[in-house]
Amino acid sequence: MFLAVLYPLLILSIFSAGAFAQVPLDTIPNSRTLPGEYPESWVIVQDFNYPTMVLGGYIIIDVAAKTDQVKGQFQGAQFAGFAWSKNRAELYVAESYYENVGYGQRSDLVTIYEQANLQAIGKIPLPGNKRAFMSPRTAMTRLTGNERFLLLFNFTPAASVTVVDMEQRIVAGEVQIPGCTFIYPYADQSFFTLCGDGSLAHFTLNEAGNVAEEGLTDPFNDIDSDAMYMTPGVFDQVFYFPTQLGKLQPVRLSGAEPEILPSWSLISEEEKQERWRPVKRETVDVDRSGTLYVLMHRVEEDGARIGGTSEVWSFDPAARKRVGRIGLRKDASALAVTGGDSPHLVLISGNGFGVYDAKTGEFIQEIGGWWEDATTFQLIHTNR
Amino acid sequence: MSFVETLSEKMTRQLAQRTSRRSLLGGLGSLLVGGAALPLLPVARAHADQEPAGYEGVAPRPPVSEGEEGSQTSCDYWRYCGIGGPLCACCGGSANACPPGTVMSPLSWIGTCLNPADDVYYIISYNDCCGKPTCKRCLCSPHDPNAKPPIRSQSSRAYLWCMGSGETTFTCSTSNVVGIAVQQK
Repeated sequence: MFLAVLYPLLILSIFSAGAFAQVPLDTIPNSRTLPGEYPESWVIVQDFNYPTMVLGGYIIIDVAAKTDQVKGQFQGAQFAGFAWSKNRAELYVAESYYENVGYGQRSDLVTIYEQANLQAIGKIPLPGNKRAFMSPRTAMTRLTGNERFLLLFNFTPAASVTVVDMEQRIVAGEVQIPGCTFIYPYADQSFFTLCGDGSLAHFTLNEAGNVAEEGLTDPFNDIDSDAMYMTPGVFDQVFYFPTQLGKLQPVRLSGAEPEILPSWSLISEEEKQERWRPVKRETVDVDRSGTLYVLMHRVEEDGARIGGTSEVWSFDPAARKRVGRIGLRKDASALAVTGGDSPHLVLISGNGFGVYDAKTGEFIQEIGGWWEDATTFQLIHTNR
Repeated sequence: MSFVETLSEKMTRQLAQRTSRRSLLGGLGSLLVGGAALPLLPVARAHADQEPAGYEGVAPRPPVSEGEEGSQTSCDYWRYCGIGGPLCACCGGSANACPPGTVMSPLSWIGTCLNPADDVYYIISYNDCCGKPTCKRCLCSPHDPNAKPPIRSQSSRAYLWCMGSGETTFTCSTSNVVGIAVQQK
């Protein structure tokens, strides 16, 4: 059938080209490629795809480009998690498949994509189908500081961390973290996790990926009264966690033991009365110079959202001082800050993205065009 | 269901709580029911001004039993005070039954809701139905002032609780009466 259609077209095109052509003939087939290393203005956004979660994905976007911003896509199935290896220029997706797409035997695995052609170049099966199915968070899927091990958060509801050796591409082991949640890597091969009693448990892995050292702090996270949100901004080995009521809790991981630094308020007394609070989830980030950005909104007494557009407040955490307040054109649910000397502030706003100059707050552009209700953007991964 | 926060502003606020309320007794790994557990249970109360009473194009359905009032296909049906997600009553099941072919998860989130018909608080088990595509009808998730970040899995909105059923794809949510709350703060 295809030949029957193509043949007359070929004949027609040959005659047309010879007689009248002003436009060069195109090459078929033709697929674009991406650079082996992505610029710092590129981000990777998770499309959770709520209507059909078993077929979620990731979208690569150049937030600095004025046109042709969307660079490509790749799959991330069923509550996928993502990590980005800068050293190997590889993309890692922890995902789950079913034998018959939406049902049947479940298989958990890590899929490895190369950056230039977005082809899957490796798959690492994960034992036990333990991967946590939950709203995606960056702290569920993290590489160690030296990128040797990929750490995956499990919840069955027993909590543990699967350790995957990304050089040998095998599962190296599992660390039990009963009562604790998520993964925050520091140093070369260490990570900590936040625990249900308000403490912090920390682990250092040996060359085999097994726990060589571990420890536990005293409780410091007041979960009942003012719980820390679980996505920190990280700068110079300090993790900055906003709390539900608007404090900032820094934790330094530069030495042998974690150092719980004094917390301080992001909001003034007047702003407390106006009920400004940090937005939950992935709403804090730090740029390369150390400026902290927090997505803020106003809430009712019981935490229910008040109408109005959210804002981004920027802080100098060392000086404990707010340095900027950026009004947004559209309400936002997540933010990230790109690398470089002129970082871009990227916000998920409904079915698209708002891009601002992080330093000046100036609106740069909106990137949209996705089908309404076809996508559910969740997280922004930056190339820093 | 906080993982769908960006569907739209409206859906964001509704869905953001779906998995939380099913935040179920994380460490226990089994259904926790009964008065003995009551002091530990979060209490969710719907905000009447936040949720639609019904859905356009969705016909009302009588309540599950004679001792109740309201419609199973309405977000303000008393049993739904702590629910979040598509109502199974709109998706081939009912307020207390899963659609055909789906499996009711033995893990669930427990809430406490007031039945206005007899002015009694009941313990409600929000069990997910799992194994078929996610239903796109009657999304319902009242604001839960007791919600916590994922560190407190039993009161977080972040988790999906189909994990105990053998099927781990999410279809819709049910609301099952499992006891009377003997004391209500």
